[in-house]
Amino acid sequence: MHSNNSINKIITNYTLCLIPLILYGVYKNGIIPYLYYQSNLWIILKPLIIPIGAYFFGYAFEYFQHHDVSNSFTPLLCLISAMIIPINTPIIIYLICLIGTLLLNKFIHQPINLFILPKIIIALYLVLFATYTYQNSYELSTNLYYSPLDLFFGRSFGGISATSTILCLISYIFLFNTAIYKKTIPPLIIGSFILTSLILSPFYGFTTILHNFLNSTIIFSSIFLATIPIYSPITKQDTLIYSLFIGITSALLVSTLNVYESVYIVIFIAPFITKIISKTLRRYRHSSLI
Amino acid sequence: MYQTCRLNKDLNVTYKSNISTYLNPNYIYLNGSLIDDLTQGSSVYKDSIVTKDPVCFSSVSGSIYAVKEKQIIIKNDFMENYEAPKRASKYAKYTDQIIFKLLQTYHFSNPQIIEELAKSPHTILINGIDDVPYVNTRTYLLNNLSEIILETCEILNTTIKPEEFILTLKNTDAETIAFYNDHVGSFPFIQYRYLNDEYPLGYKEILCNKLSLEEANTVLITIEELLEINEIIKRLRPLSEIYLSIIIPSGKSFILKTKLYTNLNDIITEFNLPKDQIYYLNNLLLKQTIDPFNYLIDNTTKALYILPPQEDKPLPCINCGICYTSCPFQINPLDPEEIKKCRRCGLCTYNCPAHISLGGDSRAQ
Repeated sequence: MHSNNSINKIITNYTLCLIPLILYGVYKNGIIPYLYYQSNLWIILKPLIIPIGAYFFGYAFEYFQHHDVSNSFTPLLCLISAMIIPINTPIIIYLICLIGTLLLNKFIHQPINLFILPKIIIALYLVLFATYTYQNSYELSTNLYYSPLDLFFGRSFGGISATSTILCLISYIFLFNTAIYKKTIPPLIIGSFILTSLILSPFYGFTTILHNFLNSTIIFSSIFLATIPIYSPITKQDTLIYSLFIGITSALLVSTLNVYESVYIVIFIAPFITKIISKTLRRYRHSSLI
Repeated sequence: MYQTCRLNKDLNVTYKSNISTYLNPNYIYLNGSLIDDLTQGSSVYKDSIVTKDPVCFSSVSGSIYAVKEKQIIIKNDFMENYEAPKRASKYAKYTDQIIFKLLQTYHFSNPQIIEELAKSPHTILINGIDDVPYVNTRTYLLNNLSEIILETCEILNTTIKPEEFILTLKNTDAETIAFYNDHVGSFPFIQYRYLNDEYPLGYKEILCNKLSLEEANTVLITIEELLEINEIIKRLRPLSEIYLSIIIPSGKSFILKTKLYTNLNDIITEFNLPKDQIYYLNNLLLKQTIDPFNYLIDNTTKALYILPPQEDKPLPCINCGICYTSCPFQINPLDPEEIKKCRRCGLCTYNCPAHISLGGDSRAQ
């Protein structure tokens, strides 16, 4: 006797939600530059091949390891890791990072989302070779002025397939009805991010704060990455610590680093920090009881 | 706020319309050590105390056939001899003190109820709902032993004098609701409350919460306990027979009335029950299996599920937390400290997407 809940169901729901984002990524980073340049077909295919290739690479890796792929988060995490990297990422570099992550994931049994590592390494690589940008070739060659509504619909700069705020919000509504989805995490992260940003707005200006929010990085990462069951906490207290830590620290870090990496770095370390804070609180509560 | 849920009942379970009985076992088996007055070969009366630690009454009359370490076997003589024929007068004047005394003397199975009744509770709550999946015992008892149930309710109401006397029924049991509605005039003190077919409703705090009752001032009595009270105060004898649901999805499920301490093996032989299947005890959500050939029916036995073997291979935990969020008592089954407070409702195991046996299950095994 069992409920309808299954691991496969949550993975399928996540994947289904990501499909419109991938397609929008193809439109924004593939079709628009292709129409502008009228150049080779690779421009269209790249934003499609990188995420799908990453998914099947993760699938194959997991298949050769355990054979049971339907209940593994690895292909999904590979897909998300590909969706958040810049469009000008050299495929070979991403592939090396992905292989390294998959191998590392095999040996590290700590609750840290290693699949964020490729993004961080690639950002470092691009900085090192002075090619760091989240704009596609069309955006680089044109002077663009986007309204907040444009940004909301996904015209902002960002990862290959992670720029549409509206699609992220629709996905959240869909995932909200999935029993296993940790639905309290995204509103807590976004709420604390906005609140901290508003407090900091006299220093950085309201436009920057609005841009950081509509950029969709915080929304995408809080809906899809921060809620991945394996890496997120389960109790009410831990969820609160985890979400507030991500929201507040991201808002603080955004002003010193940038919005594209800071949120992911915070999500990368958040499970660890939550564990430490939770343990400290428990010890404190235990000692105060004695 | 305690959350309840509707369970996915995908087994096709249909019950026989009448209660089956097995009241003539050749032997009964009592776990405990023999009291000092008795030795092997001694005669025992029905309902006389045979063992200590724990105290067990013989549910048959006969002789002590064998004395093993911590187990006494009594051979049934099928005479049903009592020490002295006793029966309370139908018109006996009960007082609360007499009832408490009788319940203590005959080792009422839930002593906590005696304590709670002694505190003059505001509400007496009779739970007539079978919340455990596929179990139908209470519905059968409500329909077939209604006279005894209503009479015992009246005795409790006149002696304990609670402000409220509530009987809960499942709102899907149309037949039971119709029957009890017909008796509203004869037993006007009983308030009927109808609840959805949800799980778990067998816990006092949850039921009180659903009915907006104050838990501390309420005594929860199940239908089975009500019948035991009747047995003690009306017939002056301890519980010797129990009712349980035998659930066989492939065949006709039935309600069985049997003697306490009967070996399940005898019931399997008598009713020709399948021997090559898995026997689950009391609540399918807990997945607690038993050895059917070496199990004694006691007053904790409420239901037996006979199901074909299933390969339910657990997957690694994905840390989704549904075990915690679905727990009505907000206990985290993954926390070794909190698991000690587990109330064994089995919802964590039921909801786990990785099919891991959590919470009370691991303790049960």
